Amino acid sequence: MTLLNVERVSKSFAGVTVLREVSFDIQPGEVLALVGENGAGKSTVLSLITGLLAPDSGTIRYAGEPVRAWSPHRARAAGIASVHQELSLNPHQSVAQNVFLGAWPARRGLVRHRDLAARARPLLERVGLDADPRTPAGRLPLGAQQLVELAKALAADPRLLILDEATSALDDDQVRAVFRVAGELRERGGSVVIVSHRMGELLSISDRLTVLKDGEVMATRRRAETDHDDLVRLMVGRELSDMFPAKPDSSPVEPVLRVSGLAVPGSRAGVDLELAPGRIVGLGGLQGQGQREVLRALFGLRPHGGRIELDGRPCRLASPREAIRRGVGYVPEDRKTEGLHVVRSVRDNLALTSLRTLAPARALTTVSRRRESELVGELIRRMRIKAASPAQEARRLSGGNQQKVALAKWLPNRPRVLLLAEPTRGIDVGTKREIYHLLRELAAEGMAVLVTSGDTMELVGLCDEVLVMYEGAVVDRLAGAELTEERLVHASVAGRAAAGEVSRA
Amino acid sequence: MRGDLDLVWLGALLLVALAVYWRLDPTLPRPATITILSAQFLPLILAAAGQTVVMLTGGIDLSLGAVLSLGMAVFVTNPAGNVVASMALALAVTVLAGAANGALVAYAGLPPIIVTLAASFLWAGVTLIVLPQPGGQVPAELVRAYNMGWYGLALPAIAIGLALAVWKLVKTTRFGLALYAVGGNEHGAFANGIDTRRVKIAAYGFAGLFTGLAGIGLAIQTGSGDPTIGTPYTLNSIAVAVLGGISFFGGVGRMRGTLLGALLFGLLSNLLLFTGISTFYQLILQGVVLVVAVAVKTLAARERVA
Repeated sequence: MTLLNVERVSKSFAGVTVLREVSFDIQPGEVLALVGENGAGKSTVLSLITGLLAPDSGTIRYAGEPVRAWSPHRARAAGIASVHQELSLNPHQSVAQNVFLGAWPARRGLVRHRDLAARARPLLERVGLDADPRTPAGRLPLGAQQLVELAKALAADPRLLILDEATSALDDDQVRAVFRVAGELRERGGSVVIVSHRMGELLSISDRLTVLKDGEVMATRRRAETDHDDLVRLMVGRELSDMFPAKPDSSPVEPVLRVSGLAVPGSRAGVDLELAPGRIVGLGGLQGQGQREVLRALFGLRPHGGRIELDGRPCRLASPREAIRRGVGYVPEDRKTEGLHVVRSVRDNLALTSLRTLAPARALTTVSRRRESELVGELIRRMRIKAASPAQEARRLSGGNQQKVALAKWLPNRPRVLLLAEPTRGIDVGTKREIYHLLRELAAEGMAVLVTSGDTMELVGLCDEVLVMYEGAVVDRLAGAELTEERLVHASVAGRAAAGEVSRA
Repeated sequence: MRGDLDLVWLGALLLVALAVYWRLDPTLPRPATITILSAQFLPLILAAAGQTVVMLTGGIDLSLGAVLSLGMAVFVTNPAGNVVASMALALAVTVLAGAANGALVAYAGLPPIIVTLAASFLWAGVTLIVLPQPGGQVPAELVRAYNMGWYGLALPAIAIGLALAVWKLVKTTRFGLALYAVGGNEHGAFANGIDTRRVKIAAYGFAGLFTGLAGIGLAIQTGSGDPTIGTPYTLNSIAVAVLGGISFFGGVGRMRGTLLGALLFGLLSNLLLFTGISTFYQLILQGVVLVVAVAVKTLAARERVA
């Protein structure tokens, strides 16, 4: 009998459709891989299965029964256990307490710590983790914490184990341990759903692979029927022509910002990069390889080492204030906390970075409301921001319009360098297109643009050059004809220049 | 282990305070002095214990002082006609008051600081209805036994010991572990099937229990009730918990830290009284001691992380 059936399930957030009529199934004794780019909807599907979210429409059947009033508690009781990339451990409690989190074995109502440690040991052994069960979980390295999560999942003796990027922080030995566990579970008739960016891993462990793209199932393939290239084609195969603006022929220009040996705490190697007026440079690679840190360092949000030259002169970017003064603008990934004041009006948000010009010293630094209105009106027109009025609270805007506000506020200062982190995350296709064209316009006006993105299509379609990052270092630079989605995916996964390599599976 | 190190440093400070105290008051080790001191410290220790339970969930209870007064008022008006029944009734009232705070925090999703601030006015009003002005009755034999010793036993010290023993037991139940889990990583706890709402309500309920005990203790110590006497316990209990290493963000800290913190806080107040300097300066010194103690600990923790 089929263990889990996902039938025509749809889900949207704030008007953006994340899943559209997604269907697939999981058999007992099977490892199923969910494959797709960032934002394809994999995590949302998993959240529906584990009860963290409820579908808008469609049915999920578990062991033949449609699930109702699903919650993490019920899913766990029904034998579904999951390990996510984002840890759900309590760093302050011991490893043993975390292994049994929420389901501590008690004798006559009392949980005995010695008992807990003794029961945790065999589970830790199974996942190949050699750690004292009494140490606080937060003290272990990230990879080890990930294995504690796995041990925690096993403690529930699951029928269905979900591994959501569970191997992203692991070294090769640890990955083997995870796969051994998955293999054991499969032999005993259990099922595993695995999500990973590492295609080679997926092809070696899974029985079937379901490919998601933009919230829709593209295909489900048996392991024997597919290979690496086939999957990549299914993941990224889209029409790019209309979405992105044409790239101008790039003649060499003197860079405005030259960075060498940029190092942030925790990264191993320095990053070298050059940003020139008129060019859009992308930072690619798997999630969390240090792209965000580079941007934050360049905007003075993160302490950093290395040499930064602006117009050929060395300079320090120790705080956002300094960065802004030198003509650097930053549109952060998390627009709700860093990009916008969500409870303030569109007007206030747009005017915030221009207070120096709107409120000159000779006017006792009071803001001229007339000039503010002119400025705000001009920005709303230029960016085509859809707001009921300039007085509307920023949080009432759609994600795309919020992003436009976060971007627009820099324009009056005419920044030389514009940094954008995940500029189109959670934004509908139409607005994405607008933002791509706008960025190209800004570049044409002489701005140097640096973008991070987990969306390979976006990087390839938008950027003149893409630097691929892996574990805090730039491992490949792709430009011109070399800049293709396949090369980019290969380099991201392999962690080295992809030249000559076709398949690493 | 890091927590233990903090407690060692707190314990050392306490020993110094005790040594100085002993020099100024040579009767310190005598049973009579211990009885009086424990009667004096009991309300603060138990109030701080209640505050600790709430802070472990990542919350804070600004209504603690008002609930303490309420428990005291219910107890001294002797509604049940006998001491034990009135005590039980007072505790029931304070537990419910606490649980109501917890329910608002858990279900309405309101920030604990707002909920309990509002509740502090509410309970203060209710207390004034129950007991409009200082008064009420506590049986004289009970007051004497409590403050002077009962067949040579220091009753308040025993009460403190019992309350902390109960907590030690509760802490090792699933609820106790869930409490730390919710405080340390609420989303993680929820994602692992812990009923975070119920845990919070129970935590605030426990705080109500400890606070009620503190109010009853204070009534027996003073022999009567006072509807506004609880107010300073709100901030004092927070100060003591912080001194004892309980994190404002939840999930970190132990009851024994709070106990040491409360003893240190109480002894210091008494020591300052002995010195005979004006209460104004006493307050200033108390503030300085608190800031220094917390700052030293925070800086030390930062060193170890860096």
